[in-house]
Amino acid sequence: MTDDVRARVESELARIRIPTLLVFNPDAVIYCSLPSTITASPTDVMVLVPAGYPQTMLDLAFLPEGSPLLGVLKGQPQQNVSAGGRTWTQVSYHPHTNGGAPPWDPTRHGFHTYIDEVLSWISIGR
Amino acid sequence: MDFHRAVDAQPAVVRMTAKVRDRLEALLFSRYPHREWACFFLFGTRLTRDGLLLTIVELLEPSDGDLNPESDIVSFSEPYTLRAALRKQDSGLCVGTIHYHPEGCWPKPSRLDDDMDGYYAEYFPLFGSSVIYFGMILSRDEHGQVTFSGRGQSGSDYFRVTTLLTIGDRKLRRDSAFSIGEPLDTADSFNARLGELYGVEAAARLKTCRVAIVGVSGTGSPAAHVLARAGVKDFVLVDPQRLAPSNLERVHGSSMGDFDADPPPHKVAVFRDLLLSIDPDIKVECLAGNILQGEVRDELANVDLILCCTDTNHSRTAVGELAYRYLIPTIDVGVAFEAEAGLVTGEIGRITFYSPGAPCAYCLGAVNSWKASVELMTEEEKALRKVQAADAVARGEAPNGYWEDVPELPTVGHFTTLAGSLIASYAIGWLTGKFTAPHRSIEFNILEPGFGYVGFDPPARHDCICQTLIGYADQGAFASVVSAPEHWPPVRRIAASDR
Repeated sequence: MTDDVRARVESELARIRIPTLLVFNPDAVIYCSLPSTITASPTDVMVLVPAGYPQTMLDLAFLPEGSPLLGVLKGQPQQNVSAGGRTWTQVSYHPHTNGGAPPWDPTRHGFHTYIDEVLSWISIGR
Repeated sequence: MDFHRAVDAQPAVVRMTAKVRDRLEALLFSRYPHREWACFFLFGTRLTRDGLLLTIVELLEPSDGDLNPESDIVSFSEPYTLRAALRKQDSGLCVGTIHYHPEGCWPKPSRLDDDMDGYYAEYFPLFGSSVIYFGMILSRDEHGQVTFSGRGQSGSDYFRVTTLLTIGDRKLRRDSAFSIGEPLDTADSFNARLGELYGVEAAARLKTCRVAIVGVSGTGSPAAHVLARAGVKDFVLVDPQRLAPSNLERVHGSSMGDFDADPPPHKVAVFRDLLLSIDPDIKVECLAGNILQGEVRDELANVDLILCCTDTNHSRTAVGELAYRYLIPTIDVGVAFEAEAGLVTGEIGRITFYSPGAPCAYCLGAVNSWKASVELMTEEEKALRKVQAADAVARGEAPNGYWEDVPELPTVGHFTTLAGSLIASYAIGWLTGKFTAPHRSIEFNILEPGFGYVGFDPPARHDCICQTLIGYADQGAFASVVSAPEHWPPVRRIAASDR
């Protein structure tokens, strides 16, 4: 992650109140203990920092491997990825490409706005 | 800290908008010719391969009592100094001082100036995170023209201002420290006609400017070709690609003989050779790389103007950002073709001017976010997404969340040469101040009556960062809008002997 991207991501994370982790190799943000109306317990959600961020849009979301939300939430579960010392399962969730969110605009959007999309996503079943 | 010991000072380039410069001169010379006046200023920086870029954000103008009006020399009050320090701390920017010397005095630092700069170079780093301090001095030479000097410190590194670039909507100025009063060079014989039309001063101005061509292909090569023949003698060429056989149709300077080598030469090297065949005194810096990459951006710190000829979403975003954060202006060009029933129905050009305060590419709606993402994706991710799109179709779902093809639009040389020549024309006008384009954004279609000309001047979005981070340079990284993907190969400098 370049210095510019790191400065940008850290600035975005400073704007949200829920706990987050910025992890590296692969570079990703973990939103911690997000409340879901579908399960009783909160869940972590991981989002990768894509190549070329922030021009490249944020896309997809990852749930912890074995999460009870897999297959319940909208989006097809895909392959597993390791990040931040844990294993995550990718879910095909695309808010900024015809998924309900406005077209990606890095002058407005970032991890500080993606959290809103994720919070909506984890509370609505398929 | 002793500025006199800084014999190995690195060069620093200062950039400011014409609006700031006009205000600065009006403020500083308000007591001219006998008494000095001064102010603090906020600035952003970028440490480059060759030195430092300094971008002036804002003048912190003195209020009543901030400077002693009874004194012939500058004396900053403590409240004024503290106010500047707190602005530095709050903004994350740097603070410097700027004052002028009275009539008949060169802008050479005096012992009092040494004391002042030495004091502030230790004082201001105590506030905020930046340790960089600069002091600048303006004066007027015997012809009444503004001349200047400047010096700065960052820790144990010293800097000396060599160049001042002023970015206006009608004119781009380049001034060198202590050389403003020098007689202007006369035009060369080969651009004598240009001198006759626009004046000797304009012809000489073209000889002192440095122009970057980003994308040295269909539109970039003819644009640079025209500028070289107009007398521009200093180019930065940026393009990551090597020449391909299909490029012969539109890349000026390319020939069949270029394919005798395996691999074929980089486009920047092919075009460099054309420039040098026109004028062997032309200076050319060739970078096989992309405008998003740090080494390329470093090289752009000291250019007067960028001609962005890549017609990509990420380049448009980058030049928009370079305009507001680093005060580097750009003319961006793209072309498109339309066809129907086997006939060509549209040969369309689009030209956009990016400068500080003007709308960025996102304000203009000039970026397709999906195409931009695809341009920056790894090949592995593209392949994976295509597989997932096919799987989605098999499940009866829409594939476009996973993947959507981005067709590559073909271009042809006669029209790219036209578009490239057109932006070279606007570049000459902007660099010399002799003429300006009628609009910030222009579209035309040469197959429509009246060439389908549409000119418009859209405003920037009032809440866009392109309006709030003007001059922030690297200190605005927290709101950067584009970055180079790490999977791209590193920038390669193509040496004079290399192709």
